[in-house]
Amino acid sequence: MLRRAAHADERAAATIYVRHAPRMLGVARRVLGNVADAEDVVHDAFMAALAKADETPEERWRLDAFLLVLTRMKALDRYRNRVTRREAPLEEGVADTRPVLENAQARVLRGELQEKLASLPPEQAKVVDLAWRGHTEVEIAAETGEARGTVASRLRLGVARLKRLFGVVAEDAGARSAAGGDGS
Amino acid sequence: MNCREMEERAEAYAFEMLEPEERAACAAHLAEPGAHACQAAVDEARAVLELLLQTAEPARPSDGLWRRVEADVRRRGTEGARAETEGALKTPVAPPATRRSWVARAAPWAGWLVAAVFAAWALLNLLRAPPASGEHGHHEDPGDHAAMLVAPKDAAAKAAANVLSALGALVAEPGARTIALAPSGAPAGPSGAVVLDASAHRGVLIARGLPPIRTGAYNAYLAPASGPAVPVGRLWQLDDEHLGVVLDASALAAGPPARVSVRLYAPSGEGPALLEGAATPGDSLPVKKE
Repeated sequence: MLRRAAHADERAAATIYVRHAPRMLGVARRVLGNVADAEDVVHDAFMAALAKADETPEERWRLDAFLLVLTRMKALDRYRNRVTRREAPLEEGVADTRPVLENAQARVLRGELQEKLASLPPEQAKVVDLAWRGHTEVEIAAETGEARGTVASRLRLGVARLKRLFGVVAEDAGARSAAGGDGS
Repeated sequence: MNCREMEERAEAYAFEMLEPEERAACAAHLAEPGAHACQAAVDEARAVLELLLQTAEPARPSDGLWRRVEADVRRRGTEGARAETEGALKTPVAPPATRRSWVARAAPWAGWLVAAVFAAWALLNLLRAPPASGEHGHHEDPGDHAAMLVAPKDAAAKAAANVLSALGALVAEPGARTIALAPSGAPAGPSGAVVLDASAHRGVLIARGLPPIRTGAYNAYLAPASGPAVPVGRLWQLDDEHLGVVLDASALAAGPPARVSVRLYAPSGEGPALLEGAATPGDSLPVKKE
């Protein structure tokens, strides 16, 4: 589908856009805090994905992950190029608050993931949340008033717990992480 | 850096939380030849990150974002040599079957109204035929929206049939009236009209002679007696000369429009009004069907 879109198939492009753009925009908005910048990022990510179409996974869920990661990368580039960081409320610039058409399966998955994320101890959840939004360890330490080592430790513990909750095991990890031997 | 140290930094590395020099050190370690036990830790952390990204609430993009993406997708096709094998680029509105009527030459206004109704009949007959291929089969919900964005041939033909069907019904109604549309700022060029039912709850806008476009779409705009014009829908190609749009009840909920216009909405933005008209008390339908 992405390859067809990359070859100027507008229908394929529109299908990908409708399926993925709202979630890409959701990620970019979480990182950047405003819609105008987030839309620029989604545009850039979409075009970058088309440019890399030949090396992109075709499976739908892999494409979804690829586009979201690419969007986050582009959002971080923009975020870190700002002279000063701006912590804007997420609602800034939102003109259209109608619910987004979302695939039922994706909605269920999102709900489950949010539930698992919410089960983390609050201090770990906070670090994980700031981390995926692109804050560095140094920034999180400054923001939370904790030592950088504490931030790093909370991130490790939080991610280790999420690995177990999400059932994440790297293909070649073997028994190393299957038993959750990460010291958490 | 060794694998043990890298493993301790795997999460921060995968989440891109490290300072540039630390990140470079990690990347250099992973790039060293040989298998790395720490690579699995990085991969797992990345997998967690991918799942975390799924927790972001989706947001509704503006129409302008799609226009930009659409324009760039088209540009890729135009710029690349691929266009040679992919065939001609699709236009946003694929013209349905062409049917020129002799009456169009006889009486400009009556002519195109009758021709439009005739073309509706021809189109409806055409649409009864089975599709040529399975290309336009069932779409799941997001796909339906995608189809709306690019207006594939069958969607355009159905929309055109709807316009002509609505126009045929309006023309048959007693008390229907029109708002004539004239070229904006030019003595000659396109022309058009809005036909409204007696209660002004339904209407159809028909335009003729608008210049052909490759990108974007012609949009209809309605404005109340006081207030700005708002877009109420895109015009669909009815035949090789006419475009039209059904004005739905919500567009007319505030009452009959005081002003009507047609503008080109292209990826580069909204164009000036090409056709404009204002309601006047004496407007009436120039022809009555049957």
